[in-house]
Amino acid sequence: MRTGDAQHGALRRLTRYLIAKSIIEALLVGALAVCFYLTAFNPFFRGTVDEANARQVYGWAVNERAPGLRVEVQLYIDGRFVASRLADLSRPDVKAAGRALDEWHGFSFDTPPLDPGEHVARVYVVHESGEGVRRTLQLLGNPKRFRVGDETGRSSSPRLSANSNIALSFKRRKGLRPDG
Amino acid sequence: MAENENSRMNVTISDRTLAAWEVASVTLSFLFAEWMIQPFAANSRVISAAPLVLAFALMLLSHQARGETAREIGWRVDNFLSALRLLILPMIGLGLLILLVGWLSHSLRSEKLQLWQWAAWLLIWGAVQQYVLQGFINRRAQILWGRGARSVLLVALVFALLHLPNPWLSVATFIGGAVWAAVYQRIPNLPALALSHALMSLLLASSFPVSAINSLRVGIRYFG
Repeated sequence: MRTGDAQHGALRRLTRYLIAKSIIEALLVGALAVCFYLTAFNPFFRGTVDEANARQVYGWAVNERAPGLRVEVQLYIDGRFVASRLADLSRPDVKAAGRALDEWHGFSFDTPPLDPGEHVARVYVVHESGEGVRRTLQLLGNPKRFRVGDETGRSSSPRLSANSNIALSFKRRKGLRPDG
Repeated sequence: MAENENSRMNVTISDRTLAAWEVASVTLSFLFAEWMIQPFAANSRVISAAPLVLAFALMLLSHQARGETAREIGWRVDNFLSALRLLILPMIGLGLLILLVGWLSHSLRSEKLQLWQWAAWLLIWGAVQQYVLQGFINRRAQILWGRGARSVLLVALVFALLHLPNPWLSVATFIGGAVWAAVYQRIPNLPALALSHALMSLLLASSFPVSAINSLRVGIRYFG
């Protein structure tokens, strides 16, 4: 038979264990969430979209964790995919500013034919994790708003509308690289 | 001063509150393992095992703190046949219902039945699940609400919750959990419940459409 005091002491130990277990599990959940976020969304991407207009969208992108590697970027206009390419164009200013080890971190996309009016360009950096299980997109800098005037928009080419592939196939027909 | 006296008072938790906390803590550990570990750290065995180790440590410590013996928990053979006798009718009823669903949906198959290895694994897995569910949660539910419908319902709900989001499995485990909890409250024998659990799981996996039970997957793996 257990005495009342022994029983009471054991229950107090149990209570303390329950508190410790709750704290450990809360910390574990938090640590897992943070680790997963950092793995799925690389926090070391730096860059910006310098300009977006009716003719082109350009900027630079660097992975500070691996500054010697080229970063893959994707252009979306008005939420629709336009093109993908490596940020491997010359940007001496990026190197001069100490943001990269070399100058080959620029990107430039030809803006596809668009309806007249205001549009929003977003450039995303592509990040792969989990040995290829996940590919995530992270917005580079801020979305860039730009206007397409009537003259620019009055092109005979197909507009970027329901299917952006139309715009891409048009560029291919003209012998241009779809990724600019 | 009254305030100083209050601040020095030992705060004690009632036995019922402690039991409720234990049920919630163990349930959360398993939900954590099913829903958080799988997507975030499935490759790490240490992290995967952490919530389960904490839960089993809690259960063992709790048994020790409450002075419960293995025999009281249900690890015994003397009442094995009595428990089986109590289980046989509901098992036949539920078994026929499962077979009827399998027959009506043209999904009866026998390949799983030939896998003795799988059957042995189910027996061990059933024993572990019944220990957690009855040997721990049912006993704590009885501290909370005593024997009867409320504690049986709590056990069934916890068992169903741990099998979400698999809809058919959640329904099946709710019914099974209620039957096993009621039987355990009358005759606490875990080997008999483990045998019943293994047989019903085997029958379910061999009768229900594969698309409905999704290989008995639960938690985040259900979507994988």
